[in-house]
Amino acid sequence: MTDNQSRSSSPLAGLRVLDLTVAWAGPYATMLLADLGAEVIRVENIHVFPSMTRGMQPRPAAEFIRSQIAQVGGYPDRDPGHRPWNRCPFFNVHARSKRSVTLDLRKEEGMSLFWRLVEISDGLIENNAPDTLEKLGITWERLRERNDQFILVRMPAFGSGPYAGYRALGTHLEAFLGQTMLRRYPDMDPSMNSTTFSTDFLGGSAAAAAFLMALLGRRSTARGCAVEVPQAQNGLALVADALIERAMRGQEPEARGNRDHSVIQGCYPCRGEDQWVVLRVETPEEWARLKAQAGQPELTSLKFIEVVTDSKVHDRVDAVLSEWTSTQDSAALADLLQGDGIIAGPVIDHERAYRDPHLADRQFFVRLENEDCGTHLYPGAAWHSLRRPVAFQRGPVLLGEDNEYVLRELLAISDAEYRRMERDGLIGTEYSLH
Amino acid sequence: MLENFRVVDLSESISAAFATKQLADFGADVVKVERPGGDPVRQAGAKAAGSTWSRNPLFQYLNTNKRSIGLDLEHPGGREVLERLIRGAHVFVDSLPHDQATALGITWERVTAWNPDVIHAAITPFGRSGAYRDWRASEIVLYAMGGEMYSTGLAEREPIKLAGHVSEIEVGSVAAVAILGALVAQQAGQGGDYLDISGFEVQMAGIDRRSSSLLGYQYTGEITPRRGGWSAGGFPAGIYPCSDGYFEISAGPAYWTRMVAMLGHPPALLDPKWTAPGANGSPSLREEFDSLFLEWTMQRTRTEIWEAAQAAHVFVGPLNSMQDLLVDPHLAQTGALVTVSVGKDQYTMPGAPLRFNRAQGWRLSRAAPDVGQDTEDILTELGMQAPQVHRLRTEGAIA
Repeated sequence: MTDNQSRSSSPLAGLRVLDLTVAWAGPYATMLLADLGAEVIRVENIHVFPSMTRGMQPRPAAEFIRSQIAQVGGYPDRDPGHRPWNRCPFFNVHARSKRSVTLDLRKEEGMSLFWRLVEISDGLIENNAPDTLEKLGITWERLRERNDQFILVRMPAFGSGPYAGYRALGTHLEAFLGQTMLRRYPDMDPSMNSTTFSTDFLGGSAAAAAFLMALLGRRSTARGCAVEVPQAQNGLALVADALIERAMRGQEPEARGNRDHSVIQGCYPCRGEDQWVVLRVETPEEWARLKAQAGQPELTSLKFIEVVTDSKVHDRVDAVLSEWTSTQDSAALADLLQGDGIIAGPVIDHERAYRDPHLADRQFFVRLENEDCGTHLYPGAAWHSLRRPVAFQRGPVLLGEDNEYVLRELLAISDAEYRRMERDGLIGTEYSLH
Repeated sequence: MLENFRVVDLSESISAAFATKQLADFGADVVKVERPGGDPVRQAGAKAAGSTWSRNPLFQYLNTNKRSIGLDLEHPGGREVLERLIRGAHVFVDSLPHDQATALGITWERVTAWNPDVIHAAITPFGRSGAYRDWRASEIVLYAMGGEMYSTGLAEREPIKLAGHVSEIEVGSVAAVAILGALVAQQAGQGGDYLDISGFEVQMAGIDRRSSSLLGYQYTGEITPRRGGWSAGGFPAGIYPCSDGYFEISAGPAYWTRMVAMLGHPPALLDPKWTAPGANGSPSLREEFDSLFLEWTMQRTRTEIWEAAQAAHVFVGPLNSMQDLLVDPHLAQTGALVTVSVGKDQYTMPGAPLRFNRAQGWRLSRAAPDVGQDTEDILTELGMQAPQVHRLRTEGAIA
């Protein structure tokens, strides 16, 4: 077989996943499944705007948009346009290859269409506030009755247990998990920590993995299952080392900032405005090579072991290294040091990423289009597959973009019925709210 | 869930170890192939010095449920055993730098010739092609290059990484998704595949702000600055002090009413100025709000604030310590923490990350192996006889 002949379709081609996800963790899970070729259908409601999903508000005020960083207020050219929900960067970045149908699940007609979709789908993923599904009457028992091969993946903040009803975003889970106390500057309290969302990342990938495992299990049992991915418990992996250290030593690990155990490590200023390089020296041999590269006489007599065992010595080394790095270009310096077997890398900002030579070589960024945004370069696939390459079927999905496909093609709703549903405001492409 | 799958794991990185940990913890038979001196990850992280633990605890966590075979791949006998293992495997994982993979002859071309159905996942810092192909990386490099460290920290300070091994763990979790997806295709009769997984790209494509900030830049030409405190979505948001520590809250415009209810409807917050368009982005109103809010928070503990917020459906998280986690009732009751015994040592570590209702999911069958602990068992399974094993051992091909 030639390589071309040996290519086959995407791993999940022919599988259909209903997507009731909000914010980031859930949509990231369904993005990964869409990247693997599943037909992911977002089930949305033009009468309910879940905050932090297609934007913070359906039609945010100009003053609000101006006050926000690009990730939130960064509608193309800072203009929310007529349909802001189709232009929000923190939604569009994960919405490729997905489809969208609007159904009002609070109404009987919406729910009956939903149940028909369940019959022709392989699974559902959701990460709403606790009880959202229960209030709609969507339970595992009912899903199983409709379709015994169905796979339900739920991603509560805490799941069954004492905190069952508790809600949280990724940043609150990081707080709960102790990551926030540990990721501060060692000389400051945590109150000025930047807000990060690492549990969204890990919760999303775990939910996708759970769906795939359920799928593999279904091959032998011919039955689906329900999976609960409590994001707090799942997120413990992100603090595993600190937790283990606490249990081992019987005392709280300290905030280390950019340092690490038994190595010389830090983030150092480079030539130009706000340019930085990170370095990590793991052995005495690497330390000798770094000293030779830096050519700073103050470092000559310092032994590796002295630096890694005494934070005051490390502070002094940092000051001397900074003098040297300040005169260097961050990318060129990282390249030089890597060539000498020293772990280093430039701190890459969002502009620089788009002209990074490595990402260009690997064609990471992908041109995608949607009707309300035009064409832009989007971050691409997280991995390369030789036989079944990740291919983005379509650009970020518009609200209700696939109403016709889902309702008329998949569910065989008649013309007249479809038009009536549009007229009655059961389906649409615009939110009824402001 | 994965009881029928055999995985050969030649990797030596935290990322790859976490990927295969997920397969092993859910039932796959993961054979860890170690160099005679052992996987260098055995030396990573906090040392057990000063405690009663004799083994590396991070390694213990990353390698639960795996078996270990010691092989010297410089030795032809060692390479032959590896080839036989791969011939019988569903998945083969390595983290070899490009030049080592080529020198050892452990390339996709060879692997697919041995076993056309195998999923070969190369989990490396930068992938097997491109300008940085031969660069080394670590947690801090992945975070620095992965697009988000620049925006983490204070404008007047150096960018700062997250604590521990967050980026490496994220890379491992996405690698597991890619492998499981390829297994679905393999089981559907579509044959093997080669997955070239670059930690750098997993980070750039990641959901924790990175990819959104990258797209925000495409849409606006603006770089997300390094800013302390909550940087999106209006107030109250960010980390506030309280009587016994700190908590984090996010209650922007959509949650204003609930927030006012949580505070007991103070008259000062009923003024219409708080809900005027754009009010939630106003720095002066934020300052005014914060002084009122701090009066309330400083009279309450983290737990009291967390409970009040949950009752009002407002997003809050208490800033916990590791000790708080070790005694947390929810984690205790859900089996989220487990204690693993190895010899005389007891290692406490994260347990089940998720639960299936109809199948056995996560389980702890055995602790992480010592180097070569299962060498003889595995060679016997490959059909080797005692004299043959003895010869390999004398030649130094196995350990």
